[in-house]
Amino acid sequence: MSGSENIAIDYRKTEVYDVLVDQDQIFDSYTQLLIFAAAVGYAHGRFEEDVEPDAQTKWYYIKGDNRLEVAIASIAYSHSRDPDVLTDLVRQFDILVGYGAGGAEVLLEEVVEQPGENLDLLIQLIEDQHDTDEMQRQLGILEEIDAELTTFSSGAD
Amino acid sequence: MILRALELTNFRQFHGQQRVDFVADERNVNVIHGSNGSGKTTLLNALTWLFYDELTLPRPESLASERAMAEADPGETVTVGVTLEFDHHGLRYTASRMREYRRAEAGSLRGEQVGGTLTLEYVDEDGNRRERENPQDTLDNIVPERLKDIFFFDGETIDQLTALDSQEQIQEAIRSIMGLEILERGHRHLDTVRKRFEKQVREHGSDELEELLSEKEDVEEELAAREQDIVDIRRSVEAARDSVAEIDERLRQTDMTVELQERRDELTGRIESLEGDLAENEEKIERAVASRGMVPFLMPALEDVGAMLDEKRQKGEIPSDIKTQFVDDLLELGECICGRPLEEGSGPHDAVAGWRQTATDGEFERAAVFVGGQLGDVGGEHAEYYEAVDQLIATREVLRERFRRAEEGLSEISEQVAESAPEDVADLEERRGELQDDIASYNQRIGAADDEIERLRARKFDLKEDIRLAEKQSEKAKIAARRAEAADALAEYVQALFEKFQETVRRRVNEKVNETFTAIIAKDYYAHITEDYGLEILKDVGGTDRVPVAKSTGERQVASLSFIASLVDLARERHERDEETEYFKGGIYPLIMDSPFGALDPTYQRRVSRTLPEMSRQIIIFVTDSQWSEEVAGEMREIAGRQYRLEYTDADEGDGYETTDITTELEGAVA
Repeated sequence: MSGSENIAIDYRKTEVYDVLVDQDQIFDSYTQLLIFAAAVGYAHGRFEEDVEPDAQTKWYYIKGDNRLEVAIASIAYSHSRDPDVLTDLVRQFDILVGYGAGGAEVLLEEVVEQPGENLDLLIQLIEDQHDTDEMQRQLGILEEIDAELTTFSSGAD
Repeated sequence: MILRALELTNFRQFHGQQRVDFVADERNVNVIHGSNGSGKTTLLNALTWLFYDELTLPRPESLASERAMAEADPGETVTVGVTLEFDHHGLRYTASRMREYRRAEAGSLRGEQVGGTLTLEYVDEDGNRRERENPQDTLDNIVPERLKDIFFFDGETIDQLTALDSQEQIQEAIRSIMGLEILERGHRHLDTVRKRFEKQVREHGSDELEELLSEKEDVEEELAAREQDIVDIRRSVEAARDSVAEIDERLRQTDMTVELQERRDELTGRIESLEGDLAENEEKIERAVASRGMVPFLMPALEDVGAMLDEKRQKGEIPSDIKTQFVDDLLELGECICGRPLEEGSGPHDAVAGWRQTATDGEFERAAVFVGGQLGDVGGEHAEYYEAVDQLIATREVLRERFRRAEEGLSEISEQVAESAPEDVADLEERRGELQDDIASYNQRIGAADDEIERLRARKFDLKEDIRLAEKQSEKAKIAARRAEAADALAEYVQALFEKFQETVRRRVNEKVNETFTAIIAKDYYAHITEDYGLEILKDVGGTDRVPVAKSTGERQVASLSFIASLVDLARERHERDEETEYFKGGIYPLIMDSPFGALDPTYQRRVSRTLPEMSRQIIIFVTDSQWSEEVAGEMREIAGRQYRLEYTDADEGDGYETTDITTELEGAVA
């Protein structure tokens, strides 16, 4: 990845950025919000193809922050299922921008456009994810039990 | 500037030539004694007349000594003048303002002005006597007129510096004494230049451009108006807060409400402290959300990538003992590391080529090691995030509950004061409630004006961009536009520089003022220059918080004195600092004060007297006998290098004309 610091990431900067970064100052930078939005978009399955960008950030704003680097790489792999994406920053950024745009829509609908304090709504959004994770974990256990029962019943026949 | 001697010639009641010599050595205090009406203020006016041709005395037109006019025959002239010898920036100056009056007729002491001069001589490095060509400008540079109330100040009215409408005076004093007005003037000039170029752009540009420029002008005017609104509203807030503080002070001194007021002070302090805690808590929540809030959303992706890497590890693909590039190099070289030839199609060749299946390229392995190594840490933040935010939200609830209870407590106190106290005190409480409502309403208006300012700034920014594009249409407009842009950019830079310096100086003055103030005042009081340049006195409440207090005249006077002393000291510091400074030249200035002990109680008189000699290299004070109390004299007698007395003779007692003679004072140190 050496020599790649200057790679640009073109993304779509919507009203959500003005509100959560400039107005409420919850996020320190647009870049930090872009990656947060991408994580939200990924978790909600909201990926936008062919995003028309109107803002730009640079890889060197991200590089060195392990959490952000891992977030981008993991989302890219999970989306593409191609291990080589871990060494392909340009593809990682394309996927980041697609989920970033989708996640920004989720943030607009679930946070910015909802009545109440945006920080509290964000906390609630993350809390909902916690509940979803928990539900999926329980669902997974149920499925395992179900599979076990099926095996058991097949063996009994 | 250090004063060496002042000579008066027939100036008001000072008949003939009279002289005062000043010192500025170890014994740096010069004292002029005189009873009320003896001429102390006239002497101070002699200095302002010399420097600015200005008198603040009754009958300013009667400059000449009546006795001198009476002694002159009709048609004869009388010379009136003030001469000051002083040192400034290493040179010895003699400034002299003289005026000739011709006596008109025998029955009248009125004189007609027939001539007048102002000269400023100095002795150069070689000892030659020279004269400044523009004496008035030079004098105004040495002690700018806008600083005259600071350098020649009247102690009886000095407490006005802590009044609400004094912010401008304080701000101007800070700017002037540190030379910041150079930057201010620069900004104003650049703004004028920009407007001139924009006019040219309009003349040579399109209609669209003209509209854009016109809108920009409107936006700028609107912006300036809103900014002024905020300044005005803030003053109203300060005024309301001061009134609340005055009422609180009265309630503290009223037997029936003293306990309630103490409880209110405590609750007010607690509320302020809780506000701080809540803000800090909110910031921690924001930081947690912004930095780690993404992790819960990422968990499936982290699991996916973890599973993939694990699989590759199990297959032995990572970490790999062998790299793709190494295998390719061997095949290209045609020789194995054991020396066996690797001919295409041969067994050894195929065996080596087979290694590529388990080999990885280095870049992938590095990425895999990095991502794999971080997965545990990032994933671990999942639980940490929820735990931290749950804890912070629980703390927030507790703080909010405490805040609510403290506010309820305040409200109850207000009701109790209104119900239990006599009518006049109940009225005070009602007025207090109204003032608190006013403050809340003012703060809302400030918030609204802030929003409007933000909107206007954004609009101005957009307009500037549109104007830049429209300007490209015309060549002449383009040149003027480039110049306007350059002036604008420079003006913004100068403004930013100015604000930065001004804030730095305000903070420094703030430190100095408080240092001097707390050295004099015994109580837990603090002097403070607010962000909008109010001189405020604060007091400890609840251990950690400070609130504005009602000020006794004495405390106001000490705060004002501390402010002036701080400016003089800072100007000296800048001057003595051995570095090249473009804006902050500073200088040595004396402290010249009429009645500095006027409203002080004996304790403060002693403390001010003790501190005063350290405030400047030269101190010149005018005092009445009652102000030269035992407390003052006890501290000052030994360090007073020169003492004079103004001997006043009333018109009814002497030869029919009021006169003042300057005599040396024999008490303690003598002239």
